[in-house]
Amino acid sequence: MRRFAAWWLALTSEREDGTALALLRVLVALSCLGLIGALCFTAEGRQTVVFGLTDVSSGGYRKLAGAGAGATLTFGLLGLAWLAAWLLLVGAFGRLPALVLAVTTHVVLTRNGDVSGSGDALLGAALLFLVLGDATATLSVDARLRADSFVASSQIAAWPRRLALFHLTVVYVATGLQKLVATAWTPLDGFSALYQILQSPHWARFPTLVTDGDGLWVVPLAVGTAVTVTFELGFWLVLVSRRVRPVFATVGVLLHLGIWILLEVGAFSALSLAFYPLLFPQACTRLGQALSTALSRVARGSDPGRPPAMRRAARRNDGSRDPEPVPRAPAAKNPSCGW
Amino acid sequence: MRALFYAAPVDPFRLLFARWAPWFQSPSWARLRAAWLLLHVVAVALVAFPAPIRRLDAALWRKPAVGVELENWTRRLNSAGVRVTRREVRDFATELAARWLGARNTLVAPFKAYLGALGVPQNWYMFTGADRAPQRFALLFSDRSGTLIPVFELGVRLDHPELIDPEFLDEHRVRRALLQTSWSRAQTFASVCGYFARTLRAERDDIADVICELRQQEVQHPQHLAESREVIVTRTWVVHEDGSASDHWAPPKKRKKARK
Repeated sequence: MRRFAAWWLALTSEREDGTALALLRVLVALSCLGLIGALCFTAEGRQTVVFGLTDVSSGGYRKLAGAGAGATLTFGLLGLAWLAAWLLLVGAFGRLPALVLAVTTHVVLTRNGDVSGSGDALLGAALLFLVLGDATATLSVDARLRADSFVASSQIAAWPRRLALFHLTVVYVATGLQKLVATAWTPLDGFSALYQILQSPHWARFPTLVTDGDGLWVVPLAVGTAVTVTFELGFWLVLVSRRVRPVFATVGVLLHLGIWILLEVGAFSALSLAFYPLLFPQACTRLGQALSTALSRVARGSDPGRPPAMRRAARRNDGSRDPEPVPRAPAAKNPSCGW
Repeated sequence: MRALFYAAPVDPFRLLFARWAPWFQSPSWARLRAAWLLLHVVAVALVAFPAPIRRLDAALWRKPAVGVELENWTRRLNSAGVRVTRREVRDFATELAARWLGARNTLVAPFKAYLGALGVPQNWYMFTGADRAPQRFALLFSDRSGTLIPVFELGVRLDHPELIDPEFLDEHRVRRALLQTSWSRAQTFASVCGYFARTLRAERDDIADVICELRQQEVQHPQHLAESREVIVTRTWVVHEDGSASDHWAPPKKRKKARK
């Protein structure tokens, strides 16, 4: 017990490069911009908001409990969320945009359970991790202001990234376990789940695709069903072994690509994929270093006639701020199997 | 612009918690954080652990998707040498689910409340079972002569894109609502029908009745590709011109006769 407590304390106290969490921030922000943009700036999106997310008195289809379900306030909140998503994308004002986005999207998108799905739940979780972690330590305007470079080398707490990874694992494994109740996801019914789901008028983008195929899709979709359920049930392995991560990441990307092409489930696939950089913190650090080098080259290239010291001196004469550049720290050693 | 960025606070949270910054570096905070994280991880795992969405009642057993699963499990158990009837499997599953749900709900209640307050519910029921006989929402209206005019049938046809935007019907939130009309209480179906009635009447003024139907058809199973699949209407809701509603539609002549 004492050994576990010491291990857990060490695990939750470790620090690491912030690039992986920053990538989660950028990808979640892009997903949010797509999600909210589609609701606010397209005719069908606005009609959907009125239909499902506002009260019947504002043109919605049902009564919604609580105040503030009017169309004006709903679109106002979505506008605020849109602004917060842009700030989250560029990494300005630290955790505040993530908090604003979490609150506004939670209020608007989950007020009617009939039209809210797993994508909204996953968005809430992702934003929680961005509030908990210092996701603007690098690849952000904040980093530019703090360290005079968009790509900084700040070490941040590792536990928000690990918690996010654990959460993604729970999502996959829980849904995989649920599927075992239905014979269609097992050999007991010939792995027929995807074949049947892709005929659903509620989820399938092309409901007649399978039936028009005259049996052509039976085997590929049986293989797809088997792979899906195996992937979901086995995803916990990424928490105990770093070696299996590339395999699971590849299958996961293909799976979500398939979902995106064949099913209409909103932003769920994009949000799930936003978590994937968290599987590879070391690769993210290397990416950050490469970006840092590239940015320095671009900066040098934009002013080739003057060495960096002269440019700094020139800026000092302008009166602008010029903190000392911070060199990137080497990747921290990770005693916890690369969690 | 640059001056604006420099003048603005970089991270309001940092400023807010700056006073406590030394404490956030202390071992006490590290221990407190570790304890909270352990609690959070346990809460997420427990609440996300699979359980039936609701009690397995008679209405649920009547759903084709659930009925086929019952049939499949009974057949497989018998072929494995366990002699059971369909009714026995159903009773066993109902009792097991009730016990499991009872124990689980008691155990996870505080954790569920905590995660709910945090805004991270753990309901990951994604395509748990294939809906073997989905009920498609269909919308029609009748003009004053009593002629029925179809508007759309979800996933099958859209006859009047000028009345209902096809992109709107493709929205996953709209589809979810239309799915709920078949799985949840009748009130949802009536509410959705009411919305479409208002939409149609705003576009055309020659509409007498707006009729919504749920049309059920089994999906094609890969082992029975050639089987014909009958379409049956399972639910109807009619919004009349005078604003009243009923669960059946009759042409105007028949309605007059019925009134006499």
